[in-house]
Amino acid sequence: MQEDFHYYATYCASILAGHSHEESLDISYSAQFVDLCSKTLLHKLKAPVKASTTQLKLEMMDSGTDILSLQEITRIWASFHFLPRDLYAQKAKRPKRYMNKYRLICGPNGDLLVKTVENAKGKSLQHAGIAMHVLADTWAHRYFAGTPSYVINNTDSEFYEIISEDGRETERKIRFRHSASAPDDIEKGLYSNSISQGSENSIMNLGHGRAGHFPDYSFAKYRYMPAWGEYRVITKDNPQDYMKAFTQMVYALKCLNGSITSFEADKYDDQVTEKYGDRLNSIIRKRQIIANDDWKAFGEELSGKTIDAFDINRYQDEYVLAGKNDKDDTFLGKFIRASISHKGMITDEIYRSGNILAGVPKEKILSVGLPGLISDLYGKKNLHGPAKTGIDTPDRQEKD
Amino acid sequence: MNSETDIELRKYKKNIEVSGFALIIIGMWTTIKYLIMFSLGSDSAKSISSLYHSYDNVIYRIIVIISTALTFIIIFSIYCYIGRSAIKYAAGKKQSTFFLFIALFLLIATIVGIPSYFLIDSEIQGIETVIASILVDISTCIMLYDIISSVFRIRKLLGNPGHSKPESDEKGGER
Repeated sequence: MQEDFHYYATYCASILAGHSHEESLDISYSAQFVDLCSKTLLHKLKAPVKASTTQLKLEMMDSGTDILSLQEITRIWASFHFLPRDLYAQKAKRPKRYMNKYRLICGPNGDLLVKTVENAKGKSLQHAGIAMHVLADTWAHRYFAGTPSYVINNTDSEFYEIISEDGRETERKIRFRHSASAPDDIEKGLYSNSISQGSENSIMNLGHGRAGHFPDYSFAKYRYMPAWGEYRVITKDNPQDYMKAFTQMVYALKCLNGSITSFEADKYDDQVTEKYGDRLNSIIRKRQIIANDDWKAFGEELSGKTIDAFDINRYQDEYVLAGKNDKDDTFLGKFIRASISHKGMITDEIYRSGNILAGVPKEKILSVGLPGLISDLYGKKNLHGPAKTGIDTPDRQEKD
Repeated sequence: MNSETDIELRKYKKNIEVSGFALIIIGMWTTIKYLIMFSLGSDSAKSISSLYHSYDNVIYRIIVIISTALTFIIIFSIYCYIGRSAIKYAAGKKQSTFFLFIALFLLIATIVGIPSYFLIDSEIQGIETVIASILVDISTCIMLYDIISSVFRIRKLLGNPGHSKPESDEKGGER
């Protein structure tokens, strides 16, 4: 998702959940900051680099395809942008190496999402913002994995956009171009994606690069064949998914502020749909590259206050100038603590499922040593039992 | 859109498309390989031709060069024709399956040619060259067989001689 949803839509959801204008700004700022908190920025602030929540293109180009680099990439992207739906998914006749990646496929309403929201409960607004970013991305980025993988994230040339006009739907075949600098032209149907790379661990095969920016456009409805789908076609309905993301964010924020006791998967704030459904649909379904203005207008109507434009530099001085013992109390200090907490929780869960793609928690290495690690990974296969939900396959999608 | 038939059709079309691309590349490689062999190898056109006293004749040389070039073009064209036809068939842009006869011919010719590798004196050509050539030829056979068998499976699934696009693959159509 883009700034329009992570910043402005999260602000709107926060207001609807009962937060004040100032609290909503903090939450939405944190949600958007997840897309900007790179190692480079943390170096500049002299902050712990393990708190990074994203990677710049140059950082990714610099990283290799060795196991440690892949773990670093997976830790960040799987934790913050492609939250796995089912770490215990099953697929017949597949080796462990494939299953490790298959189980990282992102999707909404997984166990990890519940843990993400519960982990943010009783913590800072920054932590809530991070949770909202993760929640929103589970809808937009579903069916892709936050690890470089050709056999999971690749798509082929059979990629069609479904355009609704006057109540009718037509299909237009998409021909991608590989031009990172040229903006997408939605009228002419010119979109960019990452170059096809047959190498399994190439960075070009990370996340939804092969589908371009389609997952991040709220208006887009498209169908394509994912590499993991065994020749099944998926229809991705972003307007529907974005609506669910928004209403689920409102529900989750109500859980976090105590209005609702506990967060459960697959629950949404239906009152929002009843009251604002038409308005939300008009923003979400409007064919535009970015919907900042529309979401901002909606947010300002809800709160009656002005929403400041997002500024990456807003809290940097506060953090840099704070004393060593006071940094944790600054805005970015709280964000950094929340980020480390969330990343650690997700990495631990991935490791406990028998998957080393996100690395091994440091505490584990120190406590059990190498023999213990090997025993953990190869001795106990499923520490938490069989798969509960399964990946949302195209067949299941059709049944829904 | 995801019925068993649709899934199998996509799978076989993909097989045909990928094998078609691979065949074009193998055709390029085969042509380059023979070009290098005939230009520089121990069995080069010059060394063979020099056995004949008429080699000094310019016309004779021109004929040898032209006929060699034509041979390469024909070899490459055969691979290209099969490959491009397979890709077009997979995309639904070609109905005719005449290219399968050429593919079958090439498959038989390749299989028949494999035993000849074992008759070559490997001390002259090098055992690694022989092994590499055998592997490439086996791969070619597998691709050709894949194209032929996939086309027949598609026809069986659709139950008619030509093949039409399934509803799910219609482009630009109203839904």
